[in-house]
Amino acid sequence: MTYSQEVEHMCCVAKGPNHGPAPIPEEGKWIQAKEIKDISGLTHGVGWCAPQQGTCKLTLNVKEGVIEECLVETIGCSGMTHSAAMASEILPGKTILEALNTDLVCDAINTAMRELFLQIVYGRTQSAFSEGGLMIGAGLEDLGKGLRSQVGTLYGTKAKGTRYLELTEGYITRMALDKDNQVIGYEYVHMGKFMEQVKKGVDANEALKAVTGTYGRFKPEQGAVKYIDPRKE
Amino acid sequence: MKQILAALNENGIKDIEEANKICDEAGLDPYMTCQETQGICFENAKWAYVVGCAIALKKGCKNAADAAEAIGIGLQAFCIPGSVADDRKVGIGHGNLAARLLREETQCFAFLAGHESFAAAEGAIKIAEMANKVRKNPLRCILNGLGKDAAMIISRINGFTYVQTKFDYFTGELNIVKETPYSDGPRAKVKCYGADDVREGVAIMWHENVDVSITGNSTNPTRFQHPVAGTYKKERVLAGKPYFSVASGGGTGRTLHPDNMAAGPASYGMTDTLGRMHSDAQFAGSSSVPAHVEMMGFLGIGNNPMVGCTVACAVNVALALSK
Repeated sequence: MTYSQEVEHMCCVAKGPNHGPAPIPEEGKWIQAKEIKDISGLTHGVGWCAPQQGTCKLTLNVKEGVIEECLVETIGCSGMTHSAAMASEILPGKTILEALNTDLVCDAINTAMRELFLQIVYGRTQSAFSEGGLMIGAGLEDLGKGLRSQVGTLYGTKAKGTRYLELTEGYITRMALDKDNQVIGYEYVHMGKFMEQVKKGVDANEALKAVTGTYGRFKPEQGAVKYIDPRKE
Repeated sequence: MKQILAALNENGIKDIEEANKICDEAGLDPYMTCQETQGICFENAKWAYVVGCAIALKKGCKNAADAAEAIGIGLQAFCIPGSVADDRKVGIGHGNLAARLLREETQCFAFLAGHESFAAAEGAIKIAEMANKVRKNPLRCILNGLGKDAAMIISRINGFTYVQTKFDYFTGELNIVKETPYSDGPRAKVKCYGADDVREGVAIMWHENVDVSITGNSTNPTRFQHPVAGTYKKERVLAGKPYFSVASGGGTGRTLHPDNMAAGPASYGMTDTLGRMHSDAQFAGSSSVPAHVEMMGFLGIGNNPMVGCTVACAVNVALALSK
């Protein structure tokens, strides 16, 4: 480090304040974060691509600056699912600073990484007040039973109204309509649980019955007059 | 986990198997009650209710409010030591909230929500079906949220009564346009309101004379539910009337930055702060998402459905013991 002539010749004016940065909450402690290794926590970030036709939800569990666990969820295009496959291998083991300048091969995932970085270094993590943070594996738990992303797929037209295709409970097989033709409930198949049963060797038709459920008012005595297949009718 | 066994042993129960047997013998199935309340809840939530109910049965709680408090002991045992949930004693808190709803002093309970999910409805359904089996004066249960369209759809799917209102911004008067019941059972007793903004939301609280409420935390918290709860709290205090406010989510730094700038010091945890400003009790995680409540070191079930489930289990315990 060299100083210019001008600076060399200046006299010293002492610096007074030396409080350091305001502490941020991390894993139950208040940390004055000065270096990347001072950052720990589990949190989410969401990103999108330039044409905004795809989006990514990224969940990282970071311990002392290093990504120990990542969950990459994407919606939008086929390519990004493959980018996500690569990212799930590339991200773990990197520091969050390193991860910023890593090409994750997809705008949406890169953007999610940037947003997540901002969340985590400003102390906005899920685990801000949880002593010791969350265990590695907490990111996976976010998926719930059967380990599938919480995806909503809903469609509607002015002419023909709404169609529920996929909700948090699962793949929607039928919608129940009341006497005014308005939606009052739906029937779903929990795909994660379905595949678990099938893998165990349960007959597919039996498994399907076991993991089919309903939400809202679905039975005739609850006011259901008509049932429709949201994909066909 | 050690603390679950400790709580069971303290109440003279050997282990979870014995707890399950105690419930069985009383003809109760808290595991199922929990599953029915929120279909997407996690396994640990169902077992927590088995443990809670077994403790309540063992204590011989013939009164539903007492049973609710005992169930809270069971729920508390499932809090991970050192977690946000443990620090805030959310298990005990849930027991106490349900007990409050089962006592005659409480007249109207409001789910003060953003109307973003059906989770408040999941809680309300169980309260509507169960609480009044043991109360002399029926408890009124309402949903008050932002958005009239959403309020109507939630009412339709769940069989509640949709109350269409029109707020007069000049006089501050709340006018009821019409009431549409979407079923004829106990669910129709749940009234669901949709407000256009904070002022109408507060007027709805006064119209129903709400004395206990729980707020959701992640959709619309700064523009609706926390401002409504805070304003109503101030007005109730000035009027010398009781109002017990519960904040259901929080406990994370993530939820919101205070000013949408997302830069500079202290830019974390705004929803937590909002809850602290008006609440008498604060839960953690989320009103609706099981994974987020579990992340705070508690059970995998939304806080709103949990209120309904605790009430239902407590009523079942009291009814079983009074046979």
